[in-house]
Amino acid sequence: MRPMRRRFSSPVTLYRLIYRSRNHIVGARPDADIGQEIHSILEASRRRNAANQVTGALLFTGSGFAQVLEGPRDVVEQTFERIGMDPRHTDVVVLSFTPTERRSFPQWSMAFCGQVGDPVMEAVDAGSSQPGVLGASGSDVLRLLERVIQREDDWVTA
Amino acid sequence: MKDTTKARAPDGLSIGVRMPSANRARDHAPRPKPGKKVGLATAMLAHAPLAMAAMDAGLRLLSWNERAGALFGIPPLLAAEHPPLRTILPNIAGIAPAQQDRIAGFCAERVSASREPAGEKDRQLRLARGQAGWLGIVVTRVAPGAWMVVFDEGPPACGTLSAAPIAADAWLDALTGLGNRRHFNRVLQDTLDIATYESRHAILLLDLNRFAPVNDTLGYSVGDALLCLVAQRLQRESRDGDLLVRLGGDAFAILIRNGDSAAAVAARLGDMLSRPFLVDGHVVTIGASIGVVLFPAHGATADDLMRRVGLALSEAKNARARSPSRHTWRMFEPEMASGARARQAFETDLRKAQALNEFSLAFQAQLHIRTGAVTGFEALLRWTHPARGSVPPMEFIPVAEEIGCIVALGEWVLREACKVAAQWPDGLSVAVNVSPRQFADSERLFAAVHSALRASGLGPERLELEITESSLLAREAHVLETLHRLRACGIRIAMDDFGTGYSSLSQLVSFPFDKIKIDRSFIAGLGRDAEATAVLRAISALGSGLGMTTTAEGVETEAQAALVAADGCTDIQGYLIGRPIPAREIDDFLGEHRPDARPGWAGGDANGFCADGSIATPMGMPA
Repeated sequence: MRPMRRRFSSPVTLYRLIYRSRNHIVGARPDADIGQEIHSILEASRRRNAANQVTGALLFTGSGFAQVLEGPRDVVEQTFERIGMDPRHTDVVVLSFTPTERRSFPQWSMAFCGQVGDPVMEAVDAGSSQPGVLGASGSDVLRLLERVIQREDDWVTA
Repeated sequence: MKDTTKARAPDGLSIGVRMPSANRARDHAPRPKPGKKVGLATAMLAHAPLAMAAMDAGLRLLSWNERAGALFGIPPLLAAEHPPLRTILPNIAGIAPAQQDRIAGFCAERVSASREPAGEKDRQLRLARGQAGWLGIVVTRVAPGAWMVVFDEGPPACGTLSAAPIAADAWLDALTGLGNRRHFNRVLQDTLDIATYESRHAILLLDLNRFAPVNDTLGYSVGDALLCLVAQRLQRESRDGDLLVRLGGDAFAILIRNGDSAAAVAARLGDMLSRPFLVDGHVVTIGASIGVVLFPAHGATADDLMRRVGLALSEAKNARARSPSRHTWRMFEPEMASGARARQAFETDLRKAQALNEFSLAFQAQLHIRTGAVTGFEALLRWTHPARGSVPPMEFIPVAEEIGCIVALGEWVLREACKVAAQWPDGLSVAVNVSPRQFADSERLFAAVHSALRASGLGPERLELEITESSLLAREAHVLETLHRLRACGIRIAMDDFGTGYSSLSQLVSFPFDKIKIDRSFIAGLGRDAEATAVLRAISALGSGLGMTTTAEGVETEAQAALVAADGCTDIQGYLIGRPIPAREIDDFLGEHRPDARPGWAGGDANGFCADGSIATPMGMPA
């Protein structure tokens, strides 16, 4: 499913939030199908974000999540107050929360990177001493997501 | 209009509601004409003893029934105008402004969350209305673009109220809109009054961790906003039947009546509050300590339960201090009560100790590295109890601070230390520790210092006051003013234990300290820990730039002395120079420590030591 693409112009100060967290889907809902849960997380976030001028990207590596949210400060704060409390993840760590001149994902209500059973993502998990995104810094996350999403964009427009 | 029926109620109010069964063809049973049934249903809704209103996505009221009109205090005539919900909220009796915000926020959230997972639909916002009882609010989507808001008006939870009317505000916490301590006590009492042998209640007492630094560093408005977010998170995790209140400050309480496992709730709340908060552009991480007590297992009366849940909370906090990552909550255990009794006895002994002359002073030398000369002594408080023996300062000083007797004790130390120091050769100074508590009454501190100097005849330039970073943190402007006054009299001011707690280099520039005492933890790390060396060097360099003496505390070995000398410290204190000794041994000590008898690591030029600390190979030291 391709999310709605829109470009927002915003007169208020933009903020960018980057956080990472540990996957706790099975802990919160033992019978859950991980693929389905991710799908529903994305669907809900795309619906809300499109209405709230929030854009961003979600990275899922199996062991954890990393997410970039950008938008007006109060909206980002309210959005995080909701998703940060989701029992399907835990050990939530904010990597950065700063004003930003421009959006990194202006066209994405919520871009997604990662797939259940994706060998690339499993390699990300296996490659670092602390598994996956749980050891990554804010700029790591942003760079990785920007690179992947940009490639995707190029591929789509080509 | 398949699903939605718009009809005119007998009183002229229009009501838009979804009437599923009225229009379904699969209803086979003979029934009255649909229109008639709708009319009946509409009349029922219009006169229902429950306040109901319909609103659109913009939170404008489309229609409402009689009871809602009475609750909002608006006449039926307004029905044509679709007033915004916001404008009628102030009319609801017993609802504070903060609660109005919460109602509006809740409705907006429900409206935007039109497709929630099952179970979410039944979420209710429940607010204390003081004397008017409580108000529950449920928002349900009834048609595309239309939501029904049901206002459930509950009777006062506290049963019969006293004859004297109490304003609604008296039961409410103005900041968060939650109930307050009075409300909690009342509901708890009433709950226990009607408890049966089957009742299983629990009280959770909750205290935020690291909240004070938020107020101190980010300001009270951020602190207040944070408290409101905490209230929201707690509210979201509470069941309808639970009572959540803010007791004051950063303390909250929850009464769980015949509810879920209190332990599970405590664990969940601990988890939720440990997650980061985004407040006014800041990222704040706090967390909470939680005490849990069960009724009837842990107590039968409100007093017993509240005292014991307080003990459990203290245990949770202590456990956190020992190991920050674990145990955010603790269930009450009977041993906690015996621990509390032991503490009580300790406090009683401590309060009596001054009158019984159980305190004494010991003096520890400080030495100037370059000249090898003793510059003075730090006065250290000792407590010898007839039964307990010698009680370590680490044990009794925090308690003395907490119960407040540190103020009188600090004054005694000042008098005694000045009296002893006045007998020493000229040029030797005495350092006295001043507790943060003593700064609370600066006039009293000022008077105590003056009377100690006057009574002893000690020159003010020979008295040094050591303050800790926490003194500065508490109320900076006021403390700085006191320090300036003291320093203007010629008394020297030293920053003690620098590098612990909320260290900030900016504190060093905020006041012209005469001396920085670098905490022993850095000295212990020298040679093993590159960071400790770097910190030591940075502080020494800063001190030398600002013209301050830098004293390394806790120097125990010659190797450490050589390293701190090389890193640029000007003075040292520690077992290497001498243990704390009673006043009567000071003459002998001075006889043994003449500057000409200085050890190999002391003395500057002879062994190539440079003031900037760039040469780290003093002579006479093993490589």
